[in-house]
Amino acid sequence: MTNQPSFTRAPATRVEPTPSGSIPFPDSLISRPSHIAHIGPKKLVELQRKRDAVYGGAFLVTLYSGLMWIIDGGPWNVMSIASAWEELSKLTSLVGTALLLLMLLFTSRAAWLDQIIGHDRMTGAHKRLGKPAFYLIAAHFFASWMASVSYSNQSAWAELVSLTTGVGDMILATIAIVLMAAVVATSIRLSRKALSYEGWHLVHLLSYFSIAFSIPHIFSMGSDLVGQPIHYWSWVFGFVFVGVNILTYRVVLPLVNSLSRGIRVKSIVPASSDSFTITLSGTNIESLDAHVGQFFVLRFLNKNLWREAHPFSLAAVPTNQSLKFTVAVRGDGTSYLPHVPAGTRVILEGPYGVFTEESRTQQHVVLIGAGVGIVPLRAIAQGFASQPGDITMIYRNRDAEDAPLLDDIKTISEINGHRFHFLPGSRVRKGTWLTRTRHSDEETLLALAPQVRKADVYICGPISFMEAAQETLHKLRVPAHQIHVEEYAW
Amino acid sequence: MRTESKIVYGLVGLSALGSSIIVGMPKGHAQQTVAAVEVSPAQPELIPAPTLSDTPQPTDTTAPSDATTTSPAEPAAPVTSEPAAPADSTQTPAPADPVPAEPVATTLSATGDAVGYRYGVVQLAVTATDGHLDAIDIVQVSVDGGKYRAVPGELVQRALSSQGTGFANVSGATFTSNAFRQALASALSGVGL
Repeated sequence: MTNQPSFTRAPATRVEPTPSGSIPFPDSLISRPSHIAHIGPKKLVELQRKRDAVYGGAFLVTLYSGLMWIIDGGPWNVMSIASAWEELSKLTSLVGTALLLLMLLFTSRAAWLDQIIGHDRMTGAHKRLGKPAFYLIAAHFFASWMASVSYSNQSAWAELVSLTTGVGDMILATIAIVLMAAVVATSIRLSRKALSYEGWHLVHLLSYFSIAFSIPHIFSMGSDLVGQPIHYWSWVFGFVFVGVNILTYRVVLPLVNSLSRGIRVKSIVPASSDSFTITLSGTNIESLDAHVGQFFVLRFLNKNLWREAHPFSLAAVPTNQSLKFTVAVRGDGTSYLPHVPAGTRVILEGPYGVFTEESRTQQHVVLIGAGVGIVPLRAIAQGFASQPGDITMIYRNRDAEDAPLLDDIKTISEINGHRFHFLPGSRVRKGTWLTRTRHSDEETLLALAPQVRKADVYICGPISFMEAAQETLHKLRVPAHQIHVEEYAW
Repeated sequence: MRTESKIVYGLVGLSALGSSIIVGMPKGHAQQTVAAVEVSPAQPELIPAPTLSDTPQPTDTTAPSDATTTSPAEPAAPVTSEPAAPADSTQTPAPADPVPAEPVATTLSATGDAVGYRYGVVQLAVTATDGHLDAIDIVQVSVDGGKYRAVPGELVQRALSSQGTGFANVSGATFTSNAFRQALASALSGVGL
């Protein structure tokens, strides 16, 4: 399907090209010409197969770590209390380490993984693995302590001291587990609320040291690796593979991509009372292969801000010379934005996310956004291949006067022939997401977007809003694979 | 995850589990549990015989030839009365004069204390000529299961080539390596090294 912007309903804002040839409306409104989108169920099946391979692979890696213990004769070594503790210590260390490596891989932001499962699922997997991994490592520590106690005639405390300080690389390993405990303690929901993002992030960086400090004792003391070259080299490969991915995708590529393209701040202007549109300039930006619906992590290189990185959604189709983002300014993190001077160098990480045309399977598209969550949808409305009437856009905002990008979206809708519904007003009650009417959310949605059952639905907004909208779609029996949500998973 | 994928990966996992059980099961495991009285794979295994020495070694009772040793059972009780040394030492050939004549090579040998550790006991005897460590004999050593049988021999080689306790641990055998180092230090102090 070719994108042929139709001007059958000539928009009020459309102006004939000026004699100089320049176009009077903002360049962000120009869609990519002759853009082709593939739709249909085939690519969905392909994507699902890849996803299953990722999750299945993660499962098999975890299983293999446990099988190492069985191959090494672990279960048959259990003959006494002491050897039972010792074998428990081995098993928990193997499986725990495998989970730790998977956790690290899921947080490496590797592009090949991101394209398959998407950033929010990667972060979700990272979070879900956190607790089991830590419990296993803690159990490993406890079991090896108990094994030492059972083997010796010293007191438990004396053994703890000699285990943590005396043998081999155990001092480093002890530091590693203390750091790991600190990382977990600051990441549980309760303390996340009390901590700022920067504080949490600083502690979280310690996990790299934790892993690094634990490596010596794994290879010097890991008795399941003795006489098992395949196991030994699998672990070496695992650590190297994860390390290379982290280094490549979190350090090397962002630096190379941004510096070689000379990415700098061009302008930062208000989009509403609490949001700003950031325009970045650079060269050869199209080669980053960024698509509408994706986001970048931005790091402004100036004296005060270089430590902070924040995820920003693309607000417009990227051109070869510029990228546009719109972000809300909320308390911590982003309050500095209005004060970043033009010309500041920016390091870009990304693009990330599968909230894109890649996950589209239908010709019809329904975009449901609330507040600043409308930003990626505005880009999608501009950039998706469409014929007039294919795209329906529903924009909820509490305030009718202060909605980010509202005029911009109206213009895009008129140019491209999208159906656009702006619904201002606060929510009726918990669990609903549309404004007060005599009708249920399902009925209202069907009235606004009659083709919703045969459409891909893209939802972005606050979590409660997205959950309520998904609930409505489930009640309307919209197939689950046609529903796409973008959660800012940080 | 789709159901068919779950089935596929589940089956792959199950067969991997099955084959690793077959690979991991100790050979002759069934007979061993029936007849296992002295040695079972789980219990620290005592390697009784000295492996790398031609010097005759005591087994249970003191049987000194030219070297005075202690019984492994009572490492602290010296047979001869030489109170100053932590372990016993004799000099071979043994002139009455404790200071040897210059041209005559002096060979000393001594047995160190039995060092208890996580998997049992390590006790070593050493022979040194003019400050050069010639041989390390294993009086007794226990290791954790069959695959560690080679570890004491490897440690002897490492200790001989480093001429002392400054050798690297055998990886995966940290406890044994450390106990070996301690036992070696004890024996070396007997020959004044």
